[in-house]
Amino acid sequence: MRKLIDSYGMTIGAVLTGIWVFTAWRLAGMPSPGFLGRLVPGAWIMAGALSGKGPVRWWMPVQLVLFTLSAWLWMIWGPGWVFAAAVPVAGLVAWALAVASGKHGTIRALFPMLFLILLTAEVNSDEVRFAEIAAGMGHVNSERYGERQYRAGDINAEVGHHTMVFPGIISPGLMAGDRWLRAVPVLITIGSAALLASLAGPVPAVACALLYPGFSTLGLAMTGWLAAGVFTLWLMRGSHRWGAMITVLAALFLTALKMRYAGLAAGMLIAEYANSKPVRGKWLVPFSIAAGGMLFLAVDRYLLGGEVFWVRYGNMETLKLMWINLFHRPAVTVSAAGWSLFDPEAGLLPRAPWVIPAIWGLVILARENGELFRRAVIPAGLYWFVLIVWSGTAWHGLPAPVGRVFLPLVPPLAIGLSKVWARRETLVLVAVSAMISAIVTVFPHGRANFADGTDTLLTLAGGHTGFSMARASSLWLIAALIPFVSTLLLTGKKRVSPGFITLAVLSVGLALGLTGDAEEAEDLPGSSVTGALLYPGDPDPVIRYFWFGSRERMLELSSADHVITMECPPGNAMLFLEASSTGGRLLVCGDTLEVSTPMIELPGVYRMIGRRGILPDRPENRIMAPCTLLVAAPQGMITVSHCDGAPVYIDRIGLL
Amino acid sequence: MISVFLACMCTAAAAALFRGPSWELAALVPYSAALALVSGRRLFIIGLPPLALALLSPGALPWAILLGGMMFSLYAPGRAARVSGFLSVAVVLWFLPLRASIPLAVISAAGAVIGGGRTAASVAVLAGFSLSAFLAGLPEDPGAEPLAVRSFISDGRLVSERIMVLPGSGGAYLCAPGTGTWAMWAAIEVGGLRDSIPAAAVSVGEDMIFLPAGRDTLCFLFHPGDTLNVSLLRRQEPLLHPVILFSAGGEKL
Repeated sequence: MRKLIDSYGMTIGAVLTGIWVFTAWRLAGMPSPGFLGRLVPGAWIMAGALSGKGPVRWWMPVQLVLFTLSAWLWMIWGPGWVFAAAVPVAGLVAWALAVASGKHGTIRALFPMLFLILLTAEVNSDEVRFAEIAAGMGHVNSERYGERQYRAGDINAEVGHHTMVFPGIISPGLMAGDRWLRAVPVLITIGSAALLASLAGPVPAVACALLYPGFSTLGLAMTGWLAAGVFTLWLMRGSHRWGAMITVLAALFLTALKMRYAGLAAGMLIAEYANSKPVRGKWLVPFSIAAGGMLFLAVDRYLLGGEVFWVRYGNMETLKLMWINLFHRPAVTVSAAGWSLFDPEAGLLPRAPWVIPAIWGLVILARENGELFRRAVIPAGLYWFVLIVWSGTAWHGLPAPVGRVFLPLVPPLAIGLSKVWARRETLVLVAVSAMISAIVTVFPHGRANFADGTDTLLTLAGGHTGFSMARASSLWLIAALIPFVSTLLLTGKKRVSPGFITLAVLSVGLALGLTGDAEEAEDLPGSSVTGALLYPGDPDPVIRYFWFGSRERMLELSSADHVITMECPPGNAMLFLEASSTGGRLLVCGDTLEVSTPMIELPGVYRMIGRRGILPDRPENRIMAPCTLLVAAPQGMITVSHCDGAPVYIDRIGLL
Repeated sequence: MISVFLACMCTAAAAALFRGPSWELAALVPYSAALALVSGRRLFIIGLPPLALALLSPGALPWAILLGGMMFSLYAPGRAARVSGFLSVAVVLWFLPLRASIPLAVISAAGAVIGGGRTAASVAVLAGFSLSAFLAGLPEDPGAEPLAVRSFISDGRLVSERIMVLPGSGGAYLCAPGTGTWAMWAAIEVGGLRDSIPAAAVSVGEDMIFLPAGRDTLCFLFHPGDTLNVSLLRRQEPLLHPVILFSAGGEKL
């Protein structure tokens, strides 16, 4: 018996975990017993079947204890069950890392989590569009994806903004029916992870697959893992006499796959060229080609009327926009770059803190293998640069799954992670990242965000923060740099004081827990708001992408039934209000307040890319005027309601 | 060890400065001591996230410290760390007006005395906790406030958000709009039960109705000043986990 446990401890432990999770879920009465209460234990049973020989690991009893303790948490704190359910899922990530180094380890390790993701992540976002195009291309008999719907960013109702390459690749799956939409993407994901394992080692590769940003589209019908796979394959090829040709083909494929990868493709070409033999005047050639390309685009746009490159990406306006972002509003572009790292909703680091030690791994790589470092980092860095400079404040691509835009960074980060894997600090940050992936797995709503300043995971935990690209001044990024740089420096040292780690982790917690003086009106609790609507009614951030001022949602007061009530100490109170209107009146504790704010002017840089005329008269195009009122509230209650006139849109409201 | 304790205390002091002092923050002192005593061990990694969560959200502080403190009192290797864990549990339970907090404190104290490396004792304490939670549920907060249901009104139509009422949550209420009479419906789903004994009470003005498990739609008139109240009548019992799902809508007459 002892021998059996020693040899097959992991298998037995995994099966027992599945059985206990199934049982405790029901004993504790945790929500979703019929769905997640079966899937999570099922994934553990699957893990048991795939474990093979191996001893039981120390974290297996720990996760069982944590799950047992937290299974009852939901009775006293509603969302507690999500965190409890996430414990065994985080255990699955740990299991995957434990089996990854065995025979066919990468493939075995991914199956249980893929099983969970495929059944919990709803078909959404670009997946639907790719499925529609795929169904249309091969005239596949598809009931669900038979008709194409117009989406934001499409050129017109007939022509979308996606290329046919990826839909063409996934279309064989759809031939077997709608349910097989993700069949090819799953194979692509597994293949890419296996390639990554050859490049960076199986354990870091599995970690990169199961943690953000790789986790964000793991197994989903999106292009990220295919791009990461092609990039990995290109990195693996080493010196080859057909190297230049392979690079050109890979670059063309990536650009055709999605124009967003053009930066990655350009980086691959540059890295290939940079590693070639040094010759006098070597860099004149690429600059000449680039200048020629730009000249061609200009001729196409202004002489041929955009007949060749008429799509929204590859035309002269795109180059103009990049010029403006770089030289006319560099502060906005720099802040977008900063938020791409730190924003709680869409940034890289909040959901993938393991990236910090991986950066040190890249430093080690630079010392050990300069050529591989250049080939890995130049394309990934250029991809990120182009993403920010090209997309500006819309870099995040929300509400599509958070983190999907960072997939091309995964191969270099995997190599970096492999260099620092054995360090204790790395494992701490990997554990934190694993918990985030686990929470998102059992709380699929957390996969997306709406760029309105409320992160779904933070909201679930009962917290909210003013630290957000939609809400805070970009100067707040300096505050984020402190824990980031501290952690970066600390993980770079060979021996780190636990006190410093504690300070860095807790600083993040504290910073995220801080809020501004006045409440965002859209966040007011139900006890304070009756009837008032949210503007815009649709949470889709695409609607707010190109607002010129604040890009948050607002509270609309447009009828007498729309009332805000706030408690305060009896007597006089100072009420802060930030609102816009074309001329509406509010009733504030019986007194009327007229709100009429002027239109904002079209920022000059938009005229440069051809936008003309005045802005349409919409709430977001009017200045949000702040005002502070001294109101009498003898009953200890302040009421704000709509009196008459045009609707009033409130951005922030609070007692000072 | 000292550096961990100091780091925790500095951050807790910053939290007190930024948010204002609260008695619950006192639990951070023994918790930080426990964390410092296990620094360099695996338990340190597990004990850090509850503290970060506590600083992140004041609402989550007592529960995060309760969970982390229980873990320390049961599994910390040294008696000093286990006792510190117990103290953090005791402080949290003292300041939370919870019924049945004594069993939790007793389990934690027992763990502090006999826990640590003794696997059998730990398993026994864990089983005791599970059995106690299974039979009696976790302590409810008797001071829990009812949840206000948010409504949205557009073109004379009202739609409320959909909410869930759990045992110990204090119920939920929806206030009538300030003007006019409204023809309302309320969709109420009661579940998690294995009998037909009424589990939900719904009242508007002076009218009240009791509902057993199942789905019901109630129609009623809503006048200014009225409030629709929904409350759960049943408590947690073994294999019975009552819950209400509620939403409402209406039109202005």
